[in-house]
Amino acid sequence: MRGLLKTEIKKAFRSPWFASAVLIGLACALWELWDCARTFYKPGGWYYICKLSMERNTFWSSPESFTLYNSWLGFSESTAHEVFFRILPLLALLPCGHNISEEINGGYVKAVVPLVGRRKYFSAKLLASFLAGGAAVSIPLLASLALTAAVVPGLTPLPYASFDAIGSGDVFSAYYYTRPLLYALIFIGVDFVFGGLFACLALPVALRSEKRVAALAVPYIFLLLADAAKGFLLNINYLEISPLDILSACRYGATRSWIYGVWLVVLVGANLALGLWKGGKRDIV
Amino acid sequence: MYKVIRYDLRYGVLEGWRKLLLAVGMGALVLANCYIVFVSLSLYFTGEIWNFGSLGASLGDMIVLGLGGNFGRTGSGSTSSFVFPTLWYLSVLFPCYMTLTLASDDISSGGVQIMSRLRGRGRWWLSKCALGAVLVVLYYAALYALLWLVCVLMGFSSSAVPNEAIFNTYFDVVFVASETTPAALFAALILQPMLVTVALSLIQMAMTLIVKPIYAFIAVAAYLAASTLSFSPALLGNFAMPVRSSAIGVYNFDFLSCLLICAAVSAIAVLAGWWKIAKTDIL
Repeated sequence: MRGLLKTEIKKAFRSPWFASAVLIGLACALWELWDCARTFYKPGGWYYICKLSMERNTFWSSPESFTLYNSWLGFSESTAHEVFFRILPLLALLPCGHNISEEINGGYVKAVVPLVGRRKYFSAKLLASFLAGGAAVSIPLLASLALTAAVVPGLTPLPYASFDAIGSGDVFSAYYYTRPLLYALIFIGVDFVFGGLFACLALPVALRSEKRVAALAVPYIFLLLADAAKGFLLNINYLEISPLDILSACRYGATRSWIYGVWLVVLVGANLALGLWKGGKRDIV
Repeated sequence: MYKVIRYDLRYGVLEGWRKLLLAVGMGALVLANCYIVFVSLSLYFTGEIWNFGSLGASLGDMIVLGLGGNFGRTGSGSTSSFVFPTLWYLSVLFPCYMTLTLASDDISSGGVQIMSRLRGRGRWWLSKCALGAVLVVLYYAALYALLWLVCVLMGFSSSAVPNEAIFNTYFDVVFVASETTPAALFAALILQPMLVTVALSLIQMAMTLIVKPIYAFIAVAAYLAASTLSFSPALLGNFAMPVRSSAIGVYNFDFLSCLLICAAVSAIAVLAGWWKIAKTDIL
């Protein structure tokens, strides 16, 4: 099992698909950085306002309103942020989705399964997908945090000086105003876990469809449908229930920890029941 | 040439009829959304939950509420408001997914045989483009037909003109129906999204001749997502959002510009695909 897992992880991380997913994510991070630097340093922008405020000792504008922690890719209100979180499931699915479909519908699985067993093979595949999918999503976010730190000062946001959309009841909101770096890292961790779980959704689809593209596009469409449900329920209780929007560190609806819990149970359950269990019972001839 | 287009359309549409079920699924989502909105509006206007009839809703309202898109972000920070228009996004992505592998799948199956029999790869490519465009038009026809049918069954008006009170309450934006014409609204609500989707599908099909289909799909998904927050005419998604059309009167994405840009983009896609397939080593 250990050797198999090592091989699968190696295959996932060394594939051109993984590299392209990370590159697309990094492109979003650079786009975000460009937007952020332009806004911060433009004539009359935050940099000049803060400088002027400090020189004249008239703090009519708080420097904490524009900090690293509300300007990186995971938090900002930019177009790059919106694009990244909209294509996030595709980036997570990219490293292994195509490969899973190719192996299951090609001849590879017939050669490997007699040697290691179905359950072990599918477990290794799921674990490798989880790690590669999570990494493909979190590497650009980490890079964005590091790159933005080189441009915008990392001041701790102040609750009374900040215009950020983090309310008192929101998940981890206490950390945002006390340990913002920890808050950012927690969200990168959350995105890693969810990215990994999104990536594993390729297996249940590949077990049912021979089309390579379907293994990537169908889970994405499923997640978009779940996101669309937010539109209906937002009219009722204003809770953020979208599996895509809860991954963003900055949100417009209120979040609760049970929503993360429900999505974790749904995604883990779907992967175990429709992927591992179905795969373990599948006839391979 | 005519024969191959006829063959492709006949068998492409007949074999791809299941794909058109996506239009029915999309219609069901739009109806579910309208149901929730109408319940809240009925409560707001009449104090009763089920009093839909008195709302004076029309087909235009259903399209605008479900597939209208959004007005972008208003305000910033804690005062900002932005809900991603997922239904609109899905309504454009579905036909793009339907046509994604039309060309690449055919090349890897019997397409090469057809190219050699046609004595021209360009003809094969043109027939694929025609099939892609027809599938998109059929998708929208099925979607709007379903919405129209529900309108008739519910006793709503079949007009493409949205109800001012519903529009103003839902979007918190002033829309004056007398300042536009039913024809302009028909073009904005029904033709513009279709034209943009045809252009995007053709671009996507041309891209699949150069890169793997999934990269083309990611590019289209990212391009569409960018247009929800940016109001540049270079982002065609803006033209596909009825609420941003000049007929509604808040933004100025008009039908003529949409027609010209989509025609230019489609022509570029067809020519680029033609050039690429002519250069490709298919043996």
